[in-house]
Amino acid sequence: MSFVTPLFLIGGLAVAVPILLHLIKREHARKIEFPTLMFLRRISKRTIRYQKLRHLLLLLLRVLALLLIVFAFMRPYREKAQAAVTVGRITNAHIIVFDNSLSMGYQDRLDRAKKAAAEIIRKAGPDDKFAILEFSDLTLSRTQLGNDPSDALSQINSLELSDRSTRFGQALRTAEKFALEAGTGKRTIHLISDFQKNGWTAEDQDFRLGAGIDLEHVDVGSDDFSNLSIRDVHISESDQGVENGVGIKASIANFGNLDRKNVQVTLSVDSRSVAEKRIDVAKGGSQGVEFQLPGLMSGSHPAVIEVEDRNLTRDNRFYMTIEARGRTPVLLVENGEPGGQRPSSFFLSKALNIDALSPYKLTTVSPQNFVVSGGLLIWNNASGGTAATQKKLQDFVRAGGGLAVVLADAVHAADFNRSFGSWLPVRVEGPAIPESFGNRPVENYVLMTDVRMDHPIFQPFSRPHSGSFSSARFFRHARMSVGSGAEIPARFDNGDPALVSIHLDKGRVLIFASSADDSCNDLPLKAVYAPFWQQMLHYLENFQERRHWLDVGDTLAPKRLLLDTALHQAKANLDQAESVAVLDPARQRLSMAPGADSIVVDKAGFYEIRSMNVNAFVAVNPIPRESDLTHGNAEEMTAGWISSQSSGFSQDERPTPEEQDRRQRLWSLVLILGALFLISELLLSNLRMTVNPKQPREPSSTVKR
Amino acid sequence: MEMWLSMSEFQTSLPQPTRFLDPQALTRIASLELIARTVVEGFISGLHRSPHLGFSVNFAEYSPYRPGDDIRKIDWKVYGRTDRLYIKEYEGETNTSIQLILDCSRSMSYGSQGITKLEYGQFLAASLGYFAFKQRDAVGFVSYDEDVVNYVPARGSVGHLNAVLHAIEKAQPGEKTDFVKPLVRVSERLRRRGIVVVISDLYDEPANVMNGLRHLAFRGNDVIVFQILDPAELRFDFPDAAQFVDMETRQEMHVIPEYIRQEYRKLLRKQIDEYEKECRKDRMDFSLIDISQPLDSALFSYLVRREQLY
Repeated sequence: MSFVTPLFLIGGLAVAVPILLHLIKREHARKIEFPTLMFLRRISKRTIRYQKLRHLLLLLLRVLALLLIVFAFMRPYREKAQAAVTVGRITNAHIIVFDNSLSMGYQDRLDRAKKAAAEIIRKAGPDDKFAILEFSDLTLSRTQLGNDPSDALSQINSLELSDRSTRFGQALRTAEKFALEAGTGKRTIHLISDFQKNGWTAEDQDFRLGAGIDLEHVDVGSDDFSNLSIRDVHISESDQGVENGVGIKASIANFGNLDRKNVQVTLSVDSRSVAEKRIDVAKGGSQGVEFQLPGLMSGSHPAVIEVEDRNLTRDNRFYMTIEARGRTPVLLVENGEPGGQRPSSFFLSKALNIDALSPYKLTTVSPQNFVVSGGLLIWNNASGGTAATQKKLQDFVRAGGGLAVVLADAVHAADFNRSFGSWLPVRVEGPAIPESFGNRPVENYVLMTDVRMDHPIFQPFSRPHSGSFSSARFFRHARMSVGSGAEIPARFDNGDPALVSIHLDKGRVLIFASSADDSCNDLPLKAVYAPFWQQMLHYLENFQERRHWLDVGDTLAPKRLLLDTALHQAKANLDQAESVAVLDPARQRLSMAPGADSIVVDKAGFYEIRSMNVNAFVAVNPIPRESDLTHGNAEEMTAGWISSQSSGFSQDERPTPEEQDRRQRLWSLVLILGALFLISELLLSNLRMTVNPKQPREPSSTVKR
Repeated sequence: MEMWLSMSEFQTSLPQPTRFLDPQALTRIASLELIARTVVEGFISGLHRSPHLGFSVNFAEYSPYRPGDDIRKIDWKVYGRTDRLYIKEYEGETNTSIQLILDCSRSMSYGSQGITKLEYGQFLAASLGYFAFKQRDAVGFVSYDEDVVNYVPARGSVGHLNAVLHAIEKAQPGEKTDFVKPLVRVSERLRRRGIVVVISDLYDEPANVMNGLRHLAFRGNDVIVFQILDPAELRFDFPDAAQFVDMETRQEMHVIPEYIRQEYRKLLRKQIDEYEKECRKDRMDFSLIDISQPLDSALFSYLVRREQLY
């Protein structure tokens, strides 16, 4: 039981008022001379005691009412710790909080920490209970509170280092919960750590342990240290892509107070050492290194920079993947033009195969010969084909493929509606301005003026002087009606949709309402034509720059990663039902929770994700700040955590307003009880104080004549 | 005729109180004789309108003088006309004596209505004495507290009334009350059978009180007891807690009246009932007098008793 406003206790002095009044009134009562007290004496023998009791009862009611009101205004509340008292009563509880972050791998810190933990367990009493928590930036409970020292010792011995960074706040909050659940008795949190300075973050600075919880520490850290770490890695592709060369820059940081000379730094790609350098790094400083790689084959290449340092080996390696992306295959399906005429994909093929730097490799096939094999698909001014064709297209899209449909003169409304319209929320009402190419009036065209610049396709064109679509004239276009599930990134100035975008499961479909050549518009003659189509294909393949490495603690979505890889490697689409295996850096297969599509990576090294046809590597590195072993002052840190005992709540334990209100509900109950006492006192005193209005006068004790 | 009436019955059977002087008003009259005369004359004039009660003190007849008769009763005017000696005989003339006994203890000096019990007792005694004198009764007076303070034997002479009234007027509140010793001494000194009127608040143990009263009655006297009490004593309606001081013993007691009022009234009522019962058993008259009530109620009680005797 604690109080929100204990100063109201001073108000308790008010109980002296009725007591003093009682005494004063008794001592200074008016004297009345009365002929005889013989009747009063007889009454006193029988009822005075009862009267006194009643009088005392009134006094008691007044005093209690005052005390209860004062008590209520002190706002009593129940502490959660006390609630736990009833749960379990033990003599002493030891919560051992063991730091297994990466920095504990420095020299023999882990062994010394284990010995210290074992010593705590051995020195404990026979009835004492133990809980073992391991922490880094993730706190895990090795054991619940139990009184089996041997089990606790075995848990300590089995503790292993992690590649995670240090976070004290979260660990102490968890330990505090264990301590509160331990109930009464001495509750001690033993914090065993190297007390890395940057393990205490600003957001944890207000944390205080709850009242009645002791904090003892074992410091295995040291102010004298030297650790080399690889930081600020930067991968730069050549202007012609990674296939033509990759530059890798890195900084070797020397944390500590020893100069390091002739330090070996090596670069390995695809498990083969490809470069080696030797550098000197002054204490507290850093030294840059740079490697230049020749062109890489398309695909994902694991690469490692390694620095020679025996003090702390777990941060000596920096893992990364270098992606030689290759060219995304684009299958263009169109009808061949008879008589050697210029194909309708003339401009499109020139735009996408503009030179060797293009990320797309265009292949043209007829509708009868096309085979879905991954990549992207452009259905250019061709009929919808058979139902089987449409089924293949639909499956392709749903599996994550990208499809662009171009509606030009050869596409008839009825044919489109029968084929594509059967699975897409778009219908073609007919051609707009159906005039022949040769007779087109110059003034009879529409412009694509209503463009959503916030759409990913048009975002590059949103800046000034980055291309204008309104200069292109559209003489003919298909008039579409769009159902729900589709969006319209661009419209003509007459309101008809110019471009329709549809998401279908994992894939995307774009429908362009006019031709890809100059048969229905003069867009191919404009500067925005090639980037417009490249943007559309980027959008269709959902292109994202892939990170070269992740940090420990990041989230990895294996299937998504494989899907992107399959798209880029021009391999068959990944079957959604296909199982995916994830191997950690120790080549151990990880199991994903049912329904989960991501995992948290917590080891440094290369994770491998495998399916039947595709595999990918993901590099994971420790958080760089963990390599800075700057030692904090353990005494000051622990003193700060236990300096305030008044609150009784840690931040995690701090009750919500509702919980706070519930714990303080006692206040209102006490106040009601006090009010009831006052009402009782009022009723009782009124009951006894009924006065006859015909009161006697003052007695005259002398004979007046 | 049953003489005892409860207080309420008694008050309702009386003539209208407005016809009589308020006791508090009597205190403003300096002469006790005048008080007595005022009270008695007023009382008598009221009685004249009563068909039930009445008496006469007028001349009844002449009887021839015989040797031994009081020569003061000889009507010399008749002797002058007839040359014979005749004695005046009056209708109401008797040989009855009335002894008025007034309690002058300290408790009698209590009064909450502007008049003390002792004052009221003095008025009552004077009125009864005057009334008796008007009927040619011999009147005596005794005041007492722990012992007899003043004793005036009963006589029927005109000048004696003044002596009685003077003794009544001189009565002062004394100390403690004793009912046995003074009343025994009074009874020993009463030579003639007559009416003994005791005026007191009777604040003593009932056994002592009755013991004293019985001594008075043993000699064949008709005893009339007037217990006079103040309304505050009867109701005990003090509003606040107070330190009550016994006027006779000076003992003190802290009392919260509202706590014990009912119990007090019950005990007082019980004692009054006991007096009433014991007096009836010993053929004594007992009347409870509230000193806020007019004096004629006491006179009425006296008259009833006297009528029974003759």
